[in-house]
Parts: sequence; C-alpha cells; structure tokens
Amino acid sequence: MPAVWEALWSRRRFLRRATALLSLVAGGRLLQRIFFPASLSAEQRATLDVVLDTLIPDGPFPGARRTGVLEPLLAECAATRQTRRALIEGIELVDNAARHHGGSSFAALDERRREAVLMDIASAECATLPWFFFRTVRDKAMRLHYAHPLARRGLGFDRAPQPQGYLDYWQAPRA
Amino acid sequence: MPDADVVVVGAGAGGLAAAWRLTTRGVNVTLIEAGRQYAPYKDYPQTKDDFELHDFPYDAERDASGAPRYTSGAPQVVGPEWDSYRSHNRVFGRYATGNERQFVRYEHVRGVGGSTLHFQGEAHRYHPYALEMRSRFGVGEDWPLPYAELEPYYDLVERKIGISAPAENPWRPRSTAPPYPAHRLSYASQRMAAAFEAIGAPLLPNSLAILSQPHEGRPPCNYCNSCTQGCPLGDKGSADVVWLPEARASDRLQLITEAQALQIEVDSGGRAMGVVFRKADGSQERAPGRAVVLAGGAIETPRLLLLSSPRRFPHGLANSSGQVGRNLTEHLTWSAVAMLEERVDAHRGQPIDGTAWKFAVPSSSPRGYVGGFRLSTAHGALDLRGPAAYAQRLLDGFGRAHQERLAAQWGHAVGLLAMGEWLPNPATYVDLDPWRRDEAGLAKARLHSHLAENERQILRHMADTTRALAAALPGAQIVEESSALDLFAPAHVLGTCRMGRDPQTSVADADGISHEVPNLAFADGSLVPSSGSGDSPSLTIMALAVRTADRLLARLG
Repeated sequence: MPAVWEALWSRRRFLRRATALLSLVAGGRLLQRIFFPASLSAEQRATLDVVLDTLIPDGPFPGARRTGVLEPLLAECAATRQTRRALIEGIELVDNAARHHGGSSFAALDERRREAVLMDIASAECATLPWFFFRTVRDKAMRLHYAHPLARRGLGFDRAPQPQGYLDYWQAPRA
Repeated sequence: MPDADVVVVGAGAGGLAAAWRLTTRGVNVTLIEAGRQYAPYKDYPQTKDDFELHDFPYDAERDASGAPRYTSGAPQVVGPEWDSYRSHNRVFGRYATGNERQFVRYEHVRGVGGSTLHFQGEAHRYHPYALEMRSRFGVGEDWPLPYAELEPYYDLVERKIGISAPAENPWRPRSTAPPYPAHRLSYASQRMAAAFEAIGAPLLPNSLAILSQPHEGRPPCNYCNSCTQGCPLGDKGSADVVWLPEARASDRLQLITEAQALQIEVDSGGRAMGVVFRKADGSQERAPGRAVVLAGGAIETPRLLLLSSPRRFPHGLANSSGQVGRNLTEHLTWSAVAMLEERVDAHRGQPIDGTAWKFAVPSSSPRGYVGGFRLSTAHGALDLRGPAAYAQRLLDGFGRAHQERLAAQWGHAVGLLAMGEWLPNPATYVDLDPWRRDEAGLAKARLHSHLAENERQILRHMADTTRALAAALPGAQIVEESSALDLFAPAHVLGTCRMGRDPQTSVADADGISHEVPNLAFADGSLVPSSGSGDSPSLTIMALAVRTADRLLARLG
C-alpha cells in the first residue's frame, strides 16, 4: 500500500477525520435549525392541534378547533425565526414530555395527562425554550380564539363595538 | 410648486390648528405630512368581527426595512429596592425581565391628524401653577406668558372642538363654562366612585374632546370605548375632524401627504426659505414659503432642526444655545387592572372617563417631590375591550378550568391610571442616532430617558395611591400593574424646543417663534416648557399653536 494511502487510512487519522466530519454535519444541522427552521411536518401539526385542543377544549364552550386557531397561529409564528424555531422544538419537547407521563406521544394521552404535560412545560424557568414555547402558543391561542365571534358569543358578547356602540354604558350590565 | 405664504411641517394637533388659523385668516399654506390620510370606516377596525385582533393601523411607524423609526439611548438601571414597583402581570410575570428600563416604543402616529387619531380624547387645561414652576417651586422653567394669556386660546379651541367637561372642577379653575356638559360616568366608574371618595380624591367625569351633543355636523359619541383604534363616527375631536374641513374650504391649503421633510432651507440672512421634502416615490421637492412652522412633534421637530443645513449650522438650525432636543419631558404613568366582585362590563363607555384631580395641583409634596399627578378610571385605555384581553392577560392557566373562570369573571375587570409630572433633567433628551438611518438616509431620532429622584418619588406616590384605591374597592384583586419605572413608552413628549425669555435656556420666544430664525415658528409639543401634573397635552398644544399662528401673522404683516 502506498505510504500516502497508508497515512490517510491510519486508524487514528481516520477517527479524527470522521469525528471532524460528523461535527461539521451536526453543527450544520444545528445552524440550519437555528437560522432556517423548516415548517412543521404533518405529525407536528397534528400534535400542535392537540396542544390547542388541550389549552381551549371543546365542550360547554366552543374550543380552539371550532374557531380554527391552528392556521392563523401557524401564520403568526412563521413571521419570525425565533417563533418558528420555538414552535418546532417545543412540539418535540411536548412529545418527549408525554413519554415521561406514560404515553407514546402527546396525542396518545388522555386529557388529564395532557394537561399535566402542559403544566410541567408552563412551569419552566423564565426565558428557557419550554417557557417561551408555552407562552407563545398560549398567548396567541387565547387571543385568536376569544377574538373570534363564535367564542365571544359563548360569553354572551355578540357583536363588534361599532356601529351601534354601547349606549347603555352607564347602566348595570344586563344579566 | 407654487409659493405659499407659510409652510407647515406636520399635520397633527398643532400643525392642523395652526394651518386652520392661517388659512382662515387669508394666508396660503403648504402643509407637509409624512403619513397618509386615513379613511375612518375603511381603516379603523371597530366594525370588524375580530376587532380585538386589530390595533390602530400604525402603518408608517416602522421604516422601509421594518425597523422602528426611533431608537433609545443607554437604559437606566432599576435597582432591587424598586422591585415592588416593577411592571408585572398575573399571567406573564414581570414585563421587563432584566434590571434595566426597557424601551417599548414612542407612541406616535404619522398621518393627517397625527397622534390625535389614536388619542383617548382627553382635553385638559394646565393648572396655572404649571406655568410658574421655576418661580413658585424653584424647578423647571417658567413659561414666558401668563395663564391669563393662554386661557382665551383654551376657550377658542374648546369651542371649536366641542369639549364636554364638568361645569365645576375646583382643581382646574376656569372663567368660562365648558361648551358641552360632561358625559355620564360609565357604570364601572360609578361603582368605583365611593373608593375614590374613601381616599379623599373625588372622581369627576373627565374633560373630553368627545361630543356629548351634536356639534358642527358631527354626531355625539356612542360609547364604543375604542378611541385608541381611531374614531369612525367623528365624534372624537381628532385634529383632522376639527381643523381640516374649514382649512380646506378656504381654498388656501395645499396638503401634501406621505411627504417627509428633510431639511429647512435658510437664506444668507438667516431666514427660513422653505422646506425640502421627500415624496413616497423617493423624489425630492422644495416647498418655498415666507415662513416655516414646525409641528412634527417633540421628537421629529428637533430632529429636523438638527438635520438642517449641516454645513452652516453644524450644531443644527436655531440651536446656538444647544437647547434643541434638550429638556424632553413626558408623563410618568402607573396603571393597574383589578378584578371586581361584580360584573360591570367596562368595555362600554370611553377609554378614560373619570378623573380625580386632588393630587394634580402642582405643589411641593411632603413626600419629597415637586409636581403632581391625576388618577383616572381607564378601562378602555388599558385595552379591556373584549374577552380576548381577559383570556390572554387577566386570567392565568388553561383548559376547562380557564374557560369556566372566564365565563364567571368576564365583565369584572376595571382599569386605573395615574399620570404624573416629569421635570426636565439633563439626562432626558433627543439627539440623532449616530448609527441608524431611515429610508431617506437620515439619522434617526434617539430618545434618552432618565427618571430622576423627583420622578421616582412621584411614581412611588402614584403607585401607593392607586393601590390604596384598589384596596378600597370591595373584593378587588389587582392582576396587572404597569409602570414607567421599568417600561419606557413615551407618548406625551414635550419641551425639546421650549419657549422662554432667555435665548440661552430656550429655543423659542414668548410668541413661539425661534430666537434665532425670525420666520421659524413652533406649533407642537416641543414648545411646551412643562408637562403639567399629568394633564394630557393636546388641548394645550392646539391652544399654543393657534396663538403662535396669530403672532406669526402679526409679524408677517
């Protein structure tokens, strides 16, 4: 075997080069995740849909699925790299946390255990990824859902402020 | 472009009031406005089904690259001794998480009508002492005119707008009756009146530029509580509604919108010759005039002076004294949202419908500060317009328990707002940002804000009083407090080209005209030397603008 070939394939060198190559690939993927996070896969969208249904479930009051919160929330989160990334990584986090609660995925858990998973994430330390993910999704979901006429009507508040205004503003609210 | 007699820069409260006075007195005016003219029913969101998702359409508040138009200087550190006065919310925790004061944004509207398009409609007269802070209390600067000279202009502007105000207000004495009776307090505020009495500060209906009766073809208010989103009816006396129609009808007004003033041209004799401006397509034009009136607000006006004629005036035009951009004042704010035991539906009414003036007479307080503050019921001003605000901000948690609590507590929230005096200090000012430029390649305005000890003590008193008031409301629980201590969101900016007798300590004279450039006048908040004890400044800005226009007319002959 020629000396140069031998040098290239010496075990120690091979391991060093392989490690460098793997580091480069891993670093590249990390950088890609940070700077160019992909959009959500179908599975991730399905998980997010279940997260929203846990935050605002359907029942006596209309839930987030009925007001169609998922699509506008995804559109808002797509606006910045930070929220795009938080959403993707947060959904992974939710599924991972679900396994600690005995499920194969977040969607496979019952409502009580899904709430427990989200409570764990909500109680994360300020400015960490779980905290940012939960705060972003909860804030947007609550705002988008309760600004929807269907959700408002569930509270007996059935119209926009104009053009009628509130001419009874000085009287006690009607029951 | 045809020669105008006067070029006015900025179509906000002061610019439009000055343009009205000039055009209706036979003067040709070119009015240059950086923003656009809004179409109320099309642009404002109150008729939309999802109205809570929409704010006022602040489409010109960011530059072409999407960056904010204004930057801020080094933030002030907030020490741990102030921890109990930090902004916080039951759901989010602290708003500003670090130990520094956080710049939120400069609350400003570019557009025909300026910031009156999104203002809450408050129309306050200053207390006479606010014009005498130096001679009475040894702080700030006296105005170069007595209150008696300002009051007739207050009267004129109030009549033109159609102010609705209480006939009696012992803390803001007046020699004439207000044009229209005050609005009734909202039900929510009525239920809070006893608590105001309990802390010794009676609650009065606010003085508002919002019609309680029809006036000059405008309808009365229908209490949608959304003044901050723009008023589609026209009952709110924004400057475009009050001043523009007559100015236009005079046939003496040329209004140029989406045109950014770049610099004021000055002849070899030191007189203003006109204004160079940039149109939306990037091209430049010149608007010539015999005089120039600056009315871009207390941030943009000093910026324009500092940018003008850099070769001849390296420190800026009309700035031999170095006072342009200095003496910036704003208002201290402390707000709280509380949940009451009973349902009051405070989404109905007007954004700031009641005010207690007990603490709003400028004075030397035993708490170790000079100044004062007012205390208001501010449900709409704190954005309690609908259930989205409750679900997102006021009630923590999620799931079925959250839904049930929202159903039980919807309609129970009320807002309180204290607004206080800010004295000028050397560390609070506007300058040009050396690093950041706008789409025209010009330096952005940079805001520096520093709470001196006087302001911190007023703020502490505001907070303690607001908390005492909330404690006097049966069963009330505070769920949110917001403070100028750690959040910097200036709105009522004043004083950066202040008027005064001494050219060494002021930019304009007693007529509101530059000490140095004899045909350059000011008609915005930059002229106002003191911030009052939490008085909203738009009425004062408009009164001074009409007065300045009169003085300019006299000088032009």
